[in-house]
Amino acid sequence: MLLKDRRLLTGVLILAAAVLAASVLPSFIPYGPLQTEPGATLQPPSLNHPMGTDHFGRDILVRVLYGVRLDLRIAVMVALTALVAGTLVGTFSGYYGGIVDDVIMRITDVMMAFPSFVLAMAITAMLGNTIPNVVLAIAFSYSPFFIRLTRAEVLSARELGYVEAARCVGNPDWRIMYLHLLPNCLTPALVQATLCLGWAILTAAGLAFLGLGIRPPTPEGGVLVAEGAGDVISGQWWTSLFPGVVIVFMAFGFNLIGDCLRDITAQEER
Amino acid sequence: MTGVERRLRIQGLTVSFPGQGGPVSVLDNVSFEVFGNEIVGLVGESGSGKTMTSLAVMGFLPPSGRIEQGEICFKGRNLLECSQAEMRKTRGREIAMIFQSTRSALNPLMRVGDQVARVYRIQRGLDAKEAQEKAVAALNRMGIPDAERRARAYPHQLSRGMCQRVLIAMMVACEPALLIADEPTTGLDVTIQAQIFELIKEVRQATEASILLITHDLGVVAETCERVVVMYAGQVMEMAAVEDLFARPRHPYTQRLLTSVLRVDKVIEMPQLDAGLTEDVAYSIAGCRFASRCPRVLPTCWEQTPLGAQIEADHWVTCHNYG
Repeated sequence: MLLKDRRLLTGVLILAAAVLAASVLPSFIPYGPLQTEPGATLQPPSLNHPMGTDHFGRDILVRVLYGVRLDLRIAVMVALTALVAGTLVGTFSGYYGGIVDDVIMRITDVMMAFPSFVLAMAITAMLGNTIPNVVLAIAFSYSPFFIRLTRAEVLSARELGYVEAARCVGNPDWRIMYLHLLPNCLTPALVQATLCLGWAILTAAGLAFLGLGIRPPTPEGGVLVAEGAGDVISGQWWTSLFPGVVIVFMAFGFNLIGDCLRDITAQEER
Repeated sequence: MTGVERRLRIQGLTVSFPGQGGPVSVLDNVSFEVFGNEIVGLVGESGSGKTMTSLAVMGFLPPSGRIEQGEICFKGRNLLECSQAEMRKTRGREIAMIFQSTRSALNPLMRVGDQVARVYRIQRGLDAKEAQEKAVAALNRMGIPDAERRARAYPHQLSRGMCQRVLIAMMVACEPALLIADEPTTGLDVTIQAQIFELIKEVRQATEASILLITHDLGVVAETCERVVVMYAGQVMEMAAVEDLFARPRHPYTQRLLTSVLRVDKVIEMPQLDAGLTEDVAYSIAGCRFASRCPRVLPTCWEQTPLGAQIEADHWVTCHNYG
């Protein structure tokens, strides 16, 4: 069974815990993510506030949980957008080849010449930092990987008999591309999408940390770390440590799953 | 010569590919005809241009291939002058092709019944339900037992012989006027081979299709075809009715080809085997491409390309010194 793989199992457990905690726990906590408590600012972790409170007396735990919700949503949206856009363009590019392919490949070259994070930063700075813009920016900066992976797969698959057979019975090009080729060329892109989930969380948090992504007071991993960063020096380690650890674990979980899936699919090809 | 209708006429077809030191013509002045409702065998060793000829008819030449001259007339229409859209309409509805590699010729992620049904939907505009029924009926006709259940199977769940039947069902779904079968039984065992050829003959009878059967198996040709076209190094060497060709081969290449067939009913000396085609030598010389291996070579053979000569009612030979 798949779950015999320790990495996959660990990754799945981490993420299952994150999803479960983020969806169930907030309803058991008597505070809201934005609810301030003037009398209880910068409290260290205690039974009432298991992760302590921040400058405004907000409960860190509930903010972290809401942050997990938002980060997971962003990650999924990013991966889906990049996957859909990337595979559609990649299939097109690989199937037609020639000048079309050359142009698309040079564009992806240019996009990949920038570090993804810098590219995402530039785009959010340009579009304005709302959540949809952050998603678009990150998805855009990751789409070249999907384009290239799918294109490479299509290049080898388009020579196969069933493509020729499909043309032979009179299928138009778009049907061959998106009904016959794309589903058969999806595997590497799907693996990439799982890995992309982890990166997307890190990038979203990173952008927010730098003040270019999601803004305070929205509870989001990067925002929380940024808010708490100054407190570490004065001894209040809990305001930034807990959100940071949670982000790392989520990214770790996705990467474990992605790595594992990549190994499995690579084995199957052999 | 069964029908009077000239269904496919290939005239002087020359196709070249860029090679080191200039273009290499892989088809050189290929001409032959396929009449209505007949099975024509196209034989020759690997690299002789059989498959290239069929790809040219389908409009599937690789992008680097260049058609230097000639025409491919299908029902009086030159396919080489057709637009992409016209070719798409012709493929499937008028000309269909059964490929060599069976397993990969079916989409691995689609149920085989859906793949056949799709053809009916594209070409006949049937709705999903009708198409599905037609597909099951077609699979049934192809001798697939329990077709209704098999239609729901994926290609990897079927044997290669079954896959080949599915592919044939797909290709004859729209009753094409010309069916090209490019070594349709490669990799199948002999029993299945025989069944597939029976099937192809049945298809011909049921749909009045003409069939161009590409093979290097002379036994199959003798049993299945009415006429034979023999190719060597991109040129047509000899063309005749089957009985005629097997009884009285006139071209030295055909003669050697026939002596190289092992027969169970005769004890013969080990046939004299040649090395395979060496592309550089064969494809680049002026004159007859078979000259370097020909036992009856004349000095003119090296200088002058022989022209096809009709020596009997239905027997053409491309040779300066045929026997």
